[in-house]
Amino acid sequence: MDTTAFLQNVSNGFLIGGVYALIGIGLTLVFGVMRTINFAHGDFTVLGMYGAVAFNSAIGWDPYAALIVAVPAAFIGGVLIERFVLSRLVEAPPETTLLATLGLSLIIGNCLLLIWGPEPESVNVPYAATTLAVGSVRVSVVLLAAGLMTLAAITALWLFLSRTETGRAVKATASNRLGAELVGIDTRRIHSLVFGLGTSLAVIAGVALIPLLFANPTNLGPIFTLKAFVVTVLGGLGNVWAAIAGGLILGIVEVLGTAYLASEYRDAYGLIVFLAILLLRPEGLFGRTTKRA
Amino acid sequence: MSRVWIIFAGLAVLGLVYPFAMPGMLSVAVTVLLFAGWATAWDIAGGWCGQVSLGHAAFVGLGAYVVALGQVELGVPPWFGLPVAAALAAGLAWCWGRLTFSLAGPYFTLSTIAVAEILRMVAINEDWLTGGAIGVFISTLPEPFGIDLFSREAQYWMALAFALGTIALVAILSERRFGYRMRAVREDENSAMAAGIDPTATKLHAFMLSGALTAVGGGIYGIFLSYLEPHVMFYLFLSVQIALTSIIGGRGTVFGPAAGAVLLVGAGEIFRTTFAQANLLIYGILILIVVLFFPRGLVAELIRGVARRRYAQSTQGE
Amino acid sequence: MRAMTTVTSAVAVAAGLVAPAAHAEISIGVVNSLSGAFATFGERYRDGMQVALDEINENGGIDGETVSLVVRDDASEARNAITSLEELGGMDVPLVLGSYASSITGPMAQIANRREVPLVVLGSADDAITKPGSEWVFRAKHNTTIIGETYFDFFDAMRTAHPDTELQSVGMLYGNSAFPTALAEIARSEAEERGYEVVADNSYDQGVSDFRPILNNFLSAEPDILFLVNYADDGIAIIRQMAEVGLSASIIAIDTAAALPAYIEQTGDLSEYVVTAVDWSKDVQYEGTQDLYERLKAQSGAEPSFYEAEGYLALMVAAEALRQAGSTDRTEVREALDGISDFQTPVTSVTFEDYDGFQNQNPIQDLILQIQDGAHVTIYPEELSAGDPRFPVPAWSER
Repeated sequence: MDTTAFLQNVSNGFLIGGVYALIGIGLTLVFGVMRTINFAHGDFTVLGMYGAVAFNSAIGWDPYAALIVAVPAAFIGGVLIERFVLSRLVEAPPETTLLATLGLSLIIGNCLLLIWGPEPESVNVPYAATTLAVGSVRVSVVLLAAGLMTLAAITALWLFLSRTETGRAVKATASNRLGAELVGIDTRRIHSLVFGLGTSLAVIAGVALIPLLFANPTNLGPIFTLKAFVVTVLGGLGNVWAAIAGGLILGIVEVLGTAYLASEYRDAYGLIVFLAILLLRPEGLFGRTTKRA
Repeated sequence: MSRVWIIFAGLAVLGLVYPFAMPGMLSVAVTVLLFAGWATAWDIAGGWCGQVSLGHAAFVGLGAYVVALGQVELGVPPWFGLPVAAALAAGLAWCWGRLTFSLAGPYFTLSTIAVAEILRMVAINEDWLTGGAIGVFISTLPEPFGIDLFSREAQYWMALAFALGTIALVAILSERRFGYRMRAVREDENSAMAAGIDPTATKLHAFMLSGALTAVGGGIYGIFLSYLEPHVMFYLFLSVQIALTSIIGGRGTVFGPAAGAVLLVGAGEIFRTTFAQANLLIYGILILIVVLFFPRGLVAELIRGVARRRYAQSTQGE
Repeated sequence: MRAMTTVTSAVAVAAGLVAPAAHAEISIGVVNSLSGAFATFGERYRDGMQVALDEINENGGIDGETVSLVVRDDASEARNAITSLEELGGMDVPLVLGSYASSITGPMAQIANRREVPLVVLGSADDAITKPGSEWVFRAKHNTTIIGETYFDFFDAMRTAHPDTELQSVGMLYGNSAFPTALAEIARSEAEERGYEVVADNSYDQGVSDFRPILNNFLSAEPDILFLVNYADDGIAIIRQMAEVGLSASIIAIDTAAALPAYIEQTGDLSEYVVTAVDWSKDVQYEGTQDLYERLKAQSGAEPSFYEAEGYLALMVAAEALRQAGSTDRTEVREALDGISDFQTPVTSVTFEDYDGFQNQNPIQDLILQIQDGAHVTIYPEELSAGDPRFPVPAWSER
């Protein structure tokens, strides 16, 4: 085996994994606190991509600058969706919220299709193909930026969850909703806040990805959602640091499988690992041992 | 005769008369009937037994490919191909269920997507088995008793038999012990177990029946299209459409899924010509409306409303 | 009484104005993907057909009768296309045009043959559609075999013109839907026949967006020719990642993705030197091409591609057949289509032939375009070209 190529593949796997972690982290948070499977998560990421495209074509700024507008907008959007749709379904059976978010996913994707049309949109930035040389390995600048954003987002989230009063209330709600209510936490507010954070994180991932990829209204959302699920299941429920590990594992498995097994089964490698973890270690690789029901 | 069978007889008469009343609109009718059958079959596992699957396109694809490849590669006529497809689908459902039924609720749903997607990739990439991405053409079919199976009339009768057969089976099961077992498992697996019901066996049987019936519809769908491509047959959105048709119509009811098929395929036809771009938007909007305002399903809830009003009127009259 | 008569005649006149019964109309059926996954292409075919329709009616229609289109959207799904074709089959349309994807046009072709409705293929390049046994189906545009052969004709020409540069090994990377797979298969057999060696051969699932591990493998295989078949989305990601990993070759051929004008916009300088096969371009040296280009551009409001031209071509051929048939009887229209020979359009000349295992296929001359200074330039075949090939492609570091 060619060592340089192998190192190159491993480093790419890590960087792609960082992007997967960024997509997955929002879902992990929502999943952990609200026990909601958000099928529209990937579509929020796609919304972030279109936001960056619109920002870039309207004002001509760097697509990353779209974060200034997109993140607060996504937060408000997420809070509204939680208030008007999901909060009404708290008492319903668990698959009901899944169906509601599936509906949201179809609505978002098809509305984007109506507005933008089916052609893929992308932003052409001069640094799209720039690399840094680390020894014999090339590191994509855009992927590196996405990885740094993942680190920043997860650190900020961790600080928020462990150092602030509201963050601790979020954690309390996650571990025991009834208990949290008994000690005076407004869990409805917490749910809105968490869903807003989740959509914001999804949108950040979209903005981070647009210089690298392309936005497409209906096809891309479910792909991202599926990746986010795999990351969440790999890492374990509601553990934000484990999402990084989940993302990295998925990235490495996919890249090595594609390079050394068969390229056409790329997405299957992640799904097989996903099924295996789900069946053999349902609490996730790094989760605490709790029965999932 | 109970109310269910009166409605069923009405539907059967409607189905028998339709091709004479609207001979030019048979293709739409075949689509409606296939979706009615699929949604009803999906409902056995998804509605009656509470196992929401978003992977049923795998059964559609399996059925279509078994019938098509049997005919094209081995010269096996569809009337042998369809039962073989059903048996294979039941086998697939058994393996699939064994593997994933330990997962509860949403986790099971996620795993169905994963399994169906892996099967889709197998169908695309293993061209020695499936003809691969280029697809399979059915160019000749046998003619039993001089019936041209390529004709829309013949396909209409096949689809009608499939839809009515599936609905009848569900109507029968709903009144049998198996129907009660399924509902008990859906409501609470632990209490079901306490009542002496084996939840895993019940779920397995429901899933196998659901998969086998879906595959029969898939086989008819393959003949209807006469061209099979993995991207079409194993399409993730086909799974979503089947599930949503049933849920929007009314989960766990005998006629809800079929009514959902009439509603959604009909709406799809209207949307397709008037609202060109976003044909799945209607599914999204309807599913939100159903989830928020009609949790039992649109059609089931409407029927309930009518029945209530009737009841109110009849009691007033007394 | 008199007042009464006046009123009646006034009503009659009004009625006459509303429904011009004197001017008979010919309706041509169209099944097109105006929504769903293939709408990008469907919209282009729509614009092309509209330009042809305007041209036909401005020149007096067909024997004085106005032509109109009865359009049905298949929403990029085969079952809708079949439904639509049967609906059209039951209406008073002499022939039908449709559709883009092979998975949709294939079933349509079967039904057209069975129901004896003449079908002029709008966009599909699937070889199987014009194989023997499909006497009711006609295709004026290229098929997969023609596309594959044209690429290798071009590679051969470059081999002859530049004997010092080695052009021996081919690396192939293609999406796993029907058309890319079929084209890759043709390329594989052409490569073997003409003495090229396929040193890397990979497919990927549509929707994948990270190609680095495959491209890294290509880097060690060092192909002289990169032969890629990508749709728009993946095509953008692949060229960016090629630049990133430093993968280049003497010839970089990208089918489908690189033919769209938007591709150049979205990839910028990276798409320079890329070659792609089409059956029409705005600078091909045919008569009337420039004029057609202007009209297509005015209709679509953007830079047109060969897809618009194919839509235009399909309708022009249909109109010609109706003109020659002098009737709207389907059998006579089919015979007229069969008899079309050397029909000149600004897109290509059309003769429906049975050759090389094809039936009712126009042996159209495909063109190779190269992206030069941010624009598509026709570079092959030489007698139709508007510019010289830039060969070989320089390494990324030397651009």
